[in-house]
Order: sequence, then C-alpha cells, then structure tokens
Amino acid sequence: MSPANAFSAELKKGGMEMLVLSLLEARPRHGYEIAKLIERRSDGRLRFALASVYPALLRLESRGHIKGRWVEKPGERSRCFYRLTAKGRKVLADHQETWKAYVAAIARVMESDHA
Amino acid sequence: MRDWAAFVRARLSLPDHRAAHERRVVRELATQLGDAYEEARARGMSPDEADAFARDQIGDWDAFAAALRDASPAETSPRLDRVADRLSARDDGSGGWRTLVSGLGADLLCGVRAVRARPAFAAAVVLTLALGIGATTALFGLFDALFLRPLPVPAPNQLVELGAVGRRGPRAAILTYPGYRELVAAGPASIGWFATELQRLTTEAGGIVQRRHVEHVTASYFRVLGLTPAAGRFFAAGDDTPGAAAPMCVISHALWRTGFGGDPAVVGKTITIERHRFAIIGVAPPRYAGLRRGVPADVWVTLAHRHLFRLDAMEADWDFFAPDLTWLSVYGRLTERSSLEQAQVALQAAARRIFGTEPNARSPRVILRPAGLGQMGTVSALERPLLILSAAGGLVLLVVCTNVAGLLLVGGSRRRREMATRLAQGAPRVRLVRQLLVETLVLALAGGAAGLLLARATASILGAWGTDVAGTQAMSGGMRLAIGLSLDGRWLAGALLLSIAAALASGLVPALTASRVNIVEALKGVEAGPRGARWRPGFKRLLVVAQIAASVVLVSVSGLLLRSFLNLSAVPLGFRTEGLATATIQGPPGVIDGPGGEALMDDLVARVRAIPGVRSASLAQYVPVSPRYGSIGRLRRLDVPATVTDPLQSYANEVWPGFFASLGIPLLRGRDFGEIESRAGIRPAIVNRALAEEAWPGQDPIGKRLALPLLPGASAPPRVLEVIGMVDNGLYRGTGDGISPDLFLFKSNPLYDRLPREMQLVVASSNLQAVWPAVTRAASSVAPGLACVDVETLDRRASRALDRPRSTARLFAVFAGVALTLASAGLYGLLAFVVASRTREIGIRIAIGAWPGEVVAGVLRSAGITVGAGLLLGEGGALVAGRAVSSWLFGVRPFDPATSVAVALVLLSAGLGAAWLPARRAARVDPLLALRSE
Repeated sequence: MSPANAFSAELKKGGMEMLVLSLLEARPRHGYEIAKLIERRSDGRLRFALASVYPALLRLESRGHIKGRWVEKPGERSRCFYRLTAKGRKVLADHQETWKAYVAAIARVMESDHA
Repeated sequence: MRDWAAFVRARLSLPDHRAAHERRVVRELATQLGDAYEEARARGMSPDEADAFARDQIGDWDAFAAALRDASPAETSPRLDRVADRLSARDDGSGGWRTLVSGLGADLLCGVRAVRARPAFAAAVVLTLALGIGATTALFGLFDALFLRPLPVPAPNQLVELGAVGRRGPRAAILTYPGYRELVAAGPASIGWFATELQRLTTEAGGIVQRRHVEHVTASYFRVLGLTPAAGRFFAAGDDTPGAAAPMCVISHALWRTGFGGDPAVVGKTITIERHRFAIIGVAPPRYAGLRRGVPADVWVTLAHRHLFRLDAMEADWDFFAPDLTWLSVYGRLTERSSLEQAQVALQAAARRIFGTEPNARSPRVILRPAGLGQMGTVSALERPLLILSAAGGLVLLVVCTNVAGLLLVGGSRRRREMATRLAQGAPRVRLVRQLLVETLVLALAGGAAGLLLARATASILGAWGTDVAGTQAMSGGMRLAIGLSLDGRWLAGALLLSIAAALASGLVPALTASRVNIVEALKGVEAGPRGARWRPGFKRLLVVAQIAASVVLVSVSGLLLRSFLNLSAVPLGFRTEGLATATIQGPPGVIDGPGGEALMDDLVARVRAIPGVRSASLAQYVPVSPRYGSIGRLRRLDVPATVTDPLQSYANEVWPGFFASLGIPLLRGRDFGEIESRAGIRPAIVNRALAEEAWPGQDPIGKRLALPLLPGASAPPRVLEVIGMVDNGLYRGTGDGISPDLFLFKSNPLYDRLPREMQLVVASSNLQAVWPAVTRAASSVAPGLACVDVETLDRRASRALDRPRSTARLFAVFAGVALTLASAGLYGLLAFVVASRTREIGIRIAIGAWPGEVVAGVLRSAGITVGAGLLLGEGGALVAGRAVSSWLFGVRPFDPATSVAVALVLLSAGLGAAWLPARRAARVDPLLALRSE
C-alpha cells in the first residue's frame, strides 16, 4: 500500500470511536455491519477487524454513549443493534467540531506554505 | 456450519466478568462470526475457506479478552467497582481524615475484589494463616486463663494477699484464727478482710457423689469480694462464729447447673459434705469458682464447721480456733481511700499479735501483695512450660508467615500490569503499598477468623496438657487441677492482634516488592519475572531457609521428647500392673479411723480374698502409681553411732500382708508381714533395697533397728522399728522420679494409734470386671457406710503417670508436623519458581546437547543448598531449644547425635520429595517450546 493510502495505527485508533458514533447517527446497526460499512465506505483503506470494533462498541456502551438492544428479525438470527443515546449525540457533535477544527488548522498550515 | 458459540466459549475466558455479561458477549460474537462466514460464502469461498475467514476475524484471543476487560470495567464487579471508584475519586491527595477513610475504604473493597478474583490463591493463604494464628491464639488463651485473666470480681486490682518477709524471702502468710481477728482489729477500717482454706471433700449433691473442692471461709468472704448471689444470699456477719449457726453453704453456679438443673428453688435444699448435711443458702455468680487458679471450688462453708472435716489422723486433736494452729490464708480489699503503704504500716505495728511471734523473736515484716489473679498455687509451675510451648507456637507462626510471604511474592509478580497502570495514573507508591497491605490484612482477618475456630477446637487439648503438666505436682490435701478454657472477647482481641501482626509480617516485603515495577516494561506486557534479567530468587530462598530452620528446631525437640517418652514407658516399674485394680475405701468419720478400724479392715481383706476369682488382695495407705505416693518420714538408725548423715529420709507406706505378693514385688531377704505381728514395744518394718543400701551399706538389713522421730511437743518415747524383710526397688511414683528409699510399716503408723481416714484396696484377678461387684458388696457388708470409690486399674494408673510427657511430646509433634509440611510446600514453590524462571536457559542447554540428568542434578543441587543452609541454621537453634527443655528429657541428652541424624534424614527426604516434581518438569522441558515462550 502506498504511504498516502495507509494511515498510521494511532490515527486509526483515535478515530475509530468517532467513526462508530457517526455511523450510528443515521440509524441503529449491529457490530458486524459497522465493521463492514467502515471498510466499504473508505474503499478498503480503513479495515478494522472485528477484534478492534467490538471492544470499542462495548467501551462506548459502558460510557453510556450508545445502547445495545437485541432484535429478532423473522428468518434471521437475533442480533444486538446499537443506537446513539442523547449523551452519545452530544459527544459525537463535540468530536465532529474538534475534527473539523483540526482539519481546518492543518489545511491552513499547508496552504500558507504554498502561498 | 460450526457452532460458533461453542467456538467462542472455548477460546474466550472472562473470569472477572459477571456471568450474564459473559453470556451476552459470547452470543453476540457467535452471531458476528456467523455473519462473517456467510459473507465469505456469499463471496464465493468454499466452506473451509469461509470457515477460516470467520475464524481469522479474531487472531489473538488473549489480547481480545484483555481489550474486553478494559472496555467494560463495570461488568466485573459492578457494585464493588462503582463504590471503590467513587471512594477513590474522593481521594484527591489533599490529605485529611476524610480522604484517608475513603481511601482505606477503597483499599478494603479492592482487597475483597482481589480475593474474589483469585479464590484458590486466597484460600491457600487463608488456610495457612489459620493454622498459625489458630495455634498462637489457643496458646494465648491458655496463657490468659492461667496468668493474665483477673478474678471475675469487681475491681480485682484492689485485692491484696497478706504476706510476710522472713528469712527465706517473701511468702504468703498463714495465720491462726486469733491472729486473723487481730488483723481485722488492727487494719484500717476501710479495708475489708477475709480468710480461707481449701479442701477436697466427698460431697453428694443432686444425687451425684463426687469429690469436690470446698472453701472454708469467713463470713466476710463474699462481701469483700464484692459478689452478688445468682440466687439466695451469702453469709451474714456472725455465721462463722463456732457453734452459732446451723450448717449452711453456698454452691457454685456450675454445681447449681449440673447438680440441680438450675432449679430456682434450690435455696433450702441440702447437700452432704463428708456425710454431714449442709443447707444451701445461695448460689455464687456464674464464672466465679474460688480463689485458687486452676482449682475450681464448688462449695463454700464457714469456718465454724471446719472441725467436722478432720480427715487426717494427724488432725484428730486439732482445735482450729486455738492460738497455736496456723491454717488460714488471708486476703483483703483496699479501697481508694487507703493505700498499700499505709495499710502495711498500720499492720506492722500489730505484727507481733497477728503472727503470734514470741516476745524475744523478731517479728516478720508485713507485706501486702496484689492478688487480682487469686492464689496461683501449682499453676505457677506452668509458667516455664507454657513459655516453651509458646516459643514453639511462635516458630510455627514464623513458618506460616514466611510461607504466606512467599505466596504473596508470587501473586504480586502476576499483578505487575495492574500495579504499573496505577502508578502510571499517578498513584503514589505509598498508596500502592498501603493498598496491598490492606489486601493482605483482609486475608489475614479471614485467616484469623478460621484460626479462632481452630483454636476453639484445640482449647480442650491445651487445657488437658496444662492439667497434665501442673497436675503431676503433688498438691497437699489431694487437690486436683482442672484447667478449663472458654472462648470469649479476650480471645477475639488476641486473634485480631495476631492477625494484624501476621499481615504485617508476611505482607510488608511483598507489598514493597510488588509496588516497585518498571512501568514501561509492565505495560508493554514484558514479563520481567521469570524472564527478566533483573529477577533474583534470593529473598524467596531466604524465606524457605528460615522455614526449614524452624522446622528443624521443632522436629528436633519433638524427637527428643518422643524418645524421652519412649524411654519413660520402657522403664520397668518393678511391680506388676496387669490384672490389678485399686480403689479407695471410705467410711463415715470414726469408722476406719476409729478404735475398731484395723479389725474392720482385716475383715474386709479377708472377705475380698474369699471372693472366687480374686487371686490376692491387700490394703495400703498409698498405692502406686502416683506422684502423691508415700508420706515423708525421717528415720534414725539405732544400731550405728549417730553419724553426720542422720537422720535418713525415706518414703513411708502402711501396708497389709500380701501387698508385695499382690503387686509382684520380689522379697529379697527375710519375710513379709504375717497376719498377726506383735505390737508390744518394737514394731516390724520392711525396707526396700535402696533404703537398706543407704542405711547399712554392705550389711544385712535384717534385724537392724530404726526409730521414728518425735512429733514436736510430744512426750512419748520414740517408736522403734525392727527390719524383718527387704524387698526390691519399685518406682511407685512413676518412672520419671527414679529410685528412692521406701519404708513399709505394718498396718498402721506407730506414731498415731489410728488408721488414716481412707485406705487403698489392691485386688489382683484375671477377670476384674466380673469380680468387682462382689468386691463392692464386700465393702458395704463389712460396716454400714463403707464405700468403694475411685476404682482404677493399675495399668491405667501407670499410663496416667506418663500423661505429662505423652501430651507434651504429642503437642510438639503436631507443631513439628505442621511446620514441616509448610516448609516442604515452601520449598516446592521455590523450586517450581526457579525452574519456571530458567525454562529458557534449560531449553537452550538441552538443545545444545546437555543431558536431562544434568538439569535434574542442577535442580537437586539448588534444593540441597537451601535444605543444607536451613539444616545448619536449624541445628544451632535445636541446640538452644534442647537445653531449654532439658528438664523434660529422660534418658537422652539435649544434644543427641542420633536425634540430629534422624532429623537431618527426615528433612532431606522432605526436601527431595518437594524437589522431585520440579526436577522432573525441568528434565521434560521441550527446547523448542522453551525457546519460543516469549
């Protein structure tokens, strides 16, 4: 993988929880679905194994940012669907603010070099 | 498709989590792995490839489990954790009481959580501690009961005992009755006094006939002691004036319970003491059992009736209220208004009148000694034995604590990650040490609670040991020692203190060691224990050496005591013990010890001999085997000029003809007593070989004459004895005492013209069980009121004489066994640790080509060094210990080479046993596995 496409492990870890939260913003999802979504939407550049995603889910749940619920759909095995809590929405909003500010700051630094 | 739930369950272990949470995780993961499998199949993979794809979703299960643990801390122990976290959050380092208390609370909860997380480890520590704390608590309980616990009366520190300082130093004063009255008159008015004497008398209460301890007291006794009756009343002033009051008594709470079932209407009922009826006027409070320690009294009567109990022929003419008879021990209660010195000064002025000293003699100096513990009596003989036993218990506790310290060190090395995390979070090291100590304290308290139960179970054994050791001292008047231990608050306090001490002793160093972690290494997961270069087994090895040394001391002493006991049991007594029984013949006053007593006894012996099945029978004043055998007599030889060594001292016994034949004691010269012997002038006597050799060395003792000394104040001429026979030596007092001179008198002591109150019957028969009812019938048929009590076989008596060495040896053997087991376990643990730590090195060696035998030799060498060091240290300690118990040894010297060799062999074999398994493991190390274990 070329350096531009491979992101360092630290960056990945830090961002993982934010990604999970943002994926749950739209609607509740289950663990495997979240892992697959991350991989698909990043065109395979971010590939999180279940071994990393699942502990993150539990961590978020123990902090009260998300809540899991077992759902039985006809014809399928029952799965635990996670959804954002009110606290989780607030945390996600904070994360997004911080991320935008961070990205903006970096962009500014790089731009000034160009100019 | 595979059962994913089973797959997950087999690989994922979440022991710290609640079961419900674990189930949820397993279920969810199973679902997700199932999803992965189906996705793979949907992508076109084969079932096997899809299966592998799903399995690969989680590579490192241990790391995954760790991540899950960190992710959901609340699921491990929700209540405890949340409370602990809340308490810890309060500890913001600002100091003060609040933070200290909440910090300690958090530590306590962490301790409980740590215990629940590793129950097997905790159980091992708790059980080990229970052994040590239990043993020492029981010893403390015995020590407390004997030497610490005050009398159960109000303000025992106010009680004093009257004493006098004479030529031979301070001793307790024994007064006459008039002397006591002088004391009461002379002392300050604020002091209360009472006087007492103790006797052991046959009492009948509630239908049970038994010998009980009876205290003769002044009427002021209970008032001065400050006791209130549990029922009825105590004596009133004037109840102790001779002739004034009807016979009345106070009984103990224990007697009330056992003899009368706690009947509230016991007041007014009667008991008999030596066949005299006494009316019960009251019951003493519970737990109070008289003044003398270890000798529980059951009945109190006033002095007025002392004359009814003249048991000894000697006491026949005594007037207890006369000014020339000393018999009373005197105690008083000092109140705050008077002081010891003032009282002593006041009494000193009247000392002459109190002690009845002659006008020209110097009057003794009066002293008052604190008597809060009561009369020590023979219990004081237990001080040294108990100290020695406590030292042994202390050694056991040492082994226990070092063992636990070793366990904690191992446990600590497994929690390095946790320690490192806390240190990284900013906790000061002191805080960590404190938390670990509190954890150890939790374990120690649990061990203390278990140990308390153990101590309770062993209390009776220790009480019996105390009774054995002190009871073999001959006590005057036939008093019997009965040491009873009961669990109460003082034991709890003792156990608590010991638990805390044990926690500190075993936990301090491990706590310090465990908190000293390299944070970076620990968090990275590098195990610096067995694989780090910095680790040394030095301290652990030192612990094991200490354990082995302590075991050597205990095993050595145990061996010495065991050999002594065996030696004692092997010594031939000099007389037969099989098929023989003894009994006490008692009668109403004046029957045996009256003018017709001898004829009655002749009749009794004749009847018993006539019983079919009885081989022989005889009577004597004393029978073996007993430390109380024999009265001491001083004799003068008449056929030799008075030499420097006169008078001779010898034990004397009054016997009937047939005594020696019944006991199988060989007659060496002369003849036994005949049925009839002349009584005019010179009386016949028989001596044993030791007396003959001492009195007339190298000569024939037959025909020689002895004189019994005069009683003080007697005017009759001395009684002369002529030796008519000599018997072989016998160990009548038991094997421990050795041979002593013995004199045998014919039926009665010529100094008194009566028999003693009681006589001992000896019966030889091949079937004692069958003939005994006839014997009892013969006794009661001879005279009304004659009874046959305290029946015992001679075998049992001989065995009882060995009770002290037997119980002491047994106790030490138990201690030694416990210490040795723990030390072996400690050695095993050390060697297992060493082998595990050097697995890599061993693997390399074997890979290079070393022979497994060399590896095993290495392990054994390591074991040998430790055991050898412990042996050396221990042998030194054993020398000291042997000297300390030298007075208990018989036939074996304190430094006994045979015992030392035996001990060394025992220790070496224990060490080899402990080393075997680790050595085997070392030899079986697979080099590849060892090299890969990173």
